[in-house]
Amino acid sequence: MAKVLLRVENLKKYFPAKGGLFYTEKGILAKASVIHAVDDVSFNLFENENLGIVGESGCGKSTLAATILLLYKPTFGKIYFYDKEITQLSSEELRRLRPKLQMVFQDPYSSLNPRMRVKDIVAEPLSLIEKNKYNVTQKVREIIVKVGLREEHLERYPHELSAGQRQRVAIARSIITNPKLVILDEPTSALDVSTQAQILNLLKDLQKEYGMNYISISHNISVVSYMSDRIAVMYLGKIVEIGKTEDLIIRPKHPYTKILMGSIPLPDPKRRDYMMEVIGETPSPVNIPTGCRFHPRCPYAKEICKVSEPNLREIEDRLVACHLVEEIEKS
Amino acid sequence: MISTTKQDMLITLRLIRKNILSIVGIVIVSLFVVTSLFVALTGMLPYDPNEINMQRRLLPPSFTHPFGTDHLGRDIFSRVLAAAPLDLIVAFTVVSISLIIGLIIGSVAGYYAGKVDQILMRITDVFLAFPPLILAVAVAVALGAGIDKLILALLIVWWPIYSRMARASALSIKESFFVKAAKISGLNSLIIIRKHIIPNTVSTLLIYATLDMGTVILYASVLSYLGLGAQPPQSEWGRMVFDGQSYLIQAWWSPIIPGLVIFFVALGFNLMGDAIRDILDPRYRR
Repeated sequence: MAKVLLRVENLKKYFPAKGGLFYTEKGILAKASVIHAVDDVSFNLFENENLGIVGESGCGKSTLAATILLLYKPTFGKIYFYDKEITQLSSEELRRLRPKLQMVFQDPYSSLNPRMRVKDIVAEPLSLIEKNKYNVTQKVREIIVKVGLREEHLERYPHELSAGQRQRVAIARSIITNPKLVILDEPTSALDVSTQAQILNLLKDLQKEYGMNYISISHNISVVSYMSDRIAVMYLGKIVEIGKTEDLIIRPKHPYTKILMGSIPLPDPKRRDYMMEVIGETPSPVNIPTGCRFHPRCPYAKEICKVSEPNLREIEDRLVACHLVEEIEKS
Repeated sequence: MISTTKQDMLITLRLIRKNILSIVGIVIVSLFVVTSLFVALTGMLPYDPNEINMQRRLLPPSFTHPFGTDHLGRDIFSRVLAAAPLDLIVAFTVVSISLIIGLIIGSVAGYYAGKVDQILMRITDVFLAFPPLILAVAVAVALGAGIDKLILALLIVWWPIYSRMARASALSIKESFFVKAAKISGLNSLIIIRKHIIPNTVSTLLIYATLDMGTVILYASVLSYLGLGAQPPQSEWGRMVFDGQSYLIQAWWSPIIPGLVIFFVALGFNLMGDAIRDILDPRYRR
């Protein structure tokens, strides 16, 4: 079995819905008003494997990404990187580990400092670990060509570049330190369709060359399925189903995954039967429904769903959090 | 059709008016700065600003004395010119030091948030809690007379506004993805503040600072008028208004003209500040 690169155990991140002196994360007053952005998430990422995370807007995907990289301090839970618990590291130890864990952000406009030249932006992470200035410049030149830009772009400011070029700069910055793990948080959602494809192919090519692992996060299932070997489906801060990409897309087991896959628009009018009606809106992450958090919208919901919260359990090489999987399969 | 052309005309008129005002502001400010530099560097003035000559006391404005003379027979035009560099230095020093202090305190408070923010901002609030002019007067009285003390008194009143603004800006920049990217790269907080927060805060503060120069000159004049700050025989606009006010009936030019100079310089900075804001803020463009 392949080595586990990243192990996330029972990760939770709550935000106080009200700020200020009395409404702190652990305060008494805050109990009633906490945003459950990430609520008990566990998964493994193996070496040479790419994981995708899909879910609606506001389901906690981006918070999960930021918490894995410890931009936010987890409220609860542990994260292991190669069997080393990174949630317990001192800030100095963590800083030394940072170059191995990188991220590409959604918005290429705000992810680059408008007052820095491209060469300084790309060099920034590397200059922390490589003190020889000449080596840094050489590496920056090498990487800028690798991401499909030219050396002349190095002297430019971000506002002189197109969205696609900016995203290439952001990618160059994230891979210059030879990271083991790169989290792609909606890497293409701000780009137009033709640029999207270029960026995704670029990411794949870079992976072949540098051998990093991706966690792709998106609401766009086609992007995630193109980029990942396995997909985790998130709903209201929790993972409801994890499975092999093709398997999960063709035969979704969890009712939410079924609806999600059914909502992909396909240019085939005959497939209308496949679509399922979604009932209502996503509940607020402040007031999580009792029992299964999907039950108010689930077309199969039964009494048990309102009472007890289903945990992820293994069903045919897949993890699903639903009480009624077998029942639904039969019907 | 008629209404739209009428509206177009109104907009055009407003633009022209705004443009004229901006140009007036820029002309006044450049005149002030150029004169100050000229006087400071060459020391050339029509008359010795401190030469007392009782023979020509309280002369009305004429070709030989464009602004008239005061109760001691000193040429008011020369005295107004001699005071210009002083006011420029006061305004520039107060604004630039406030800007630097404000940038550092505001960025640190905004970036670290939490306890650091609470402590720094409560200290700032203490200074903001007093009416600014009264605080400046109180500090100036406590420190005694003199230009350096005047600057210090104004600084104590001025920096809190800048740190508040810098903090607000740092709070929003902190949430931008390039700061998160810097954190993920492993940069420590001080470097992030220096390389990412401050460079992006400075431009907003600079606009405010130009707007603010006029206000500092007003305050400096008020303090000098009250006998704090510049000491005789050093000429200062506020002080000249004070010296001349007892002769308002016999020689109106003696207090009024220095007063008008203060008014126009402050106005000039305000108009120029407006112009700069309009140029940099596309929302005001029409």
